[in-house]
Amino acid sequence: MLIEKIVRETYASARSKETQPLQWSILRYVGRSTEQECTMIRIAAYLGLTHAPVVRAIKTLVKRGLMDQKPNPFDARSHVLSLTELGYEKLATDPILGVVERIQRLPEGEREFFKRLIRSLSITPEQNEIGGNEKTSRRR
Amino acid sequence: MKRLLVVDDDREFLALVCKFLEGSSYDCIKADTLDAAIKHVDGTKWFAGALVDFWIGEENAIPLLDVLHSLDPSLPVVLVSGGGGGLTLEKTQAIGEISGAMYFLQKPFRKAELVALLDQIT
Repeated sequence: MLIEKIVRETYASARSKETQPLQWSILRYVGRSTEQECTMIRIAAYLGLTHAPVVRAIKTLVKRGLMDQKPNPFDARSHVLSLTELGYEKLATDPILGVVERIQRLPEGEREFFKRLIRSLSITPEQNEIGGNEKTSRRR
Repeated sequence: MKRLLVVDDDREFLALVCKFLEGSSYDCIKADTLDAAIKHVDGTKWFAGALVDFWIGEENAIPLLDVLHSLDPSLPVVLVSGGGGGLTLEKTQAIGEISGAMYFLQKPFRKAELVALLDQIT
């Protein structure tokens, strides 16, 4: 429950005009990737999502002036995305930075313990996933 | 020549990466298991960087990342993944970052992407 509370506090507002968690993930990806990595297909694969929600989120971000799209110089069938100046300004207000700052304020021993704990939780499957569908659990 | 540790259980991938780097300033040291990789980093022969696939056989690379980070926190480590294992690539990258792998390459990648990244970080 505490983890859920921390996440809720991080994204304080769920109003539709606010930047949503998926949109933040896309801004972060585009903000730190090379131009050729910034295609909708690669972003969807990175986030483990189908194309439809990613396309919708990209449209919103472009409409809000946070990202630009232009034809992909490596593949005429797709577009590459980049952050606008406004997009970089938005990224500088990423709510996750507040969590980072809170973690950095922890004493070193607690910080190291937290790091190991969160890492273990991240790679431990939920009970109902253990022995689950082999196709979905197989790695590439 | 800069020694680059390349770790993946997929031997075709290992061969391809080393072929990508032929004629460059990198000398590929290949390992296809976690144990083999950890033996390479016993502290007697050091590396300019490491390219590590997150999934190695049925295991993940976290123990190797911890060894690399404990031996040299400033070593440039590139984590590589194509996904799977119930983890998104976003999550895999985040796990890598808190384990000291500050760079990430999403499979598949082009030779130019690999060389540009290595040239930038090593």
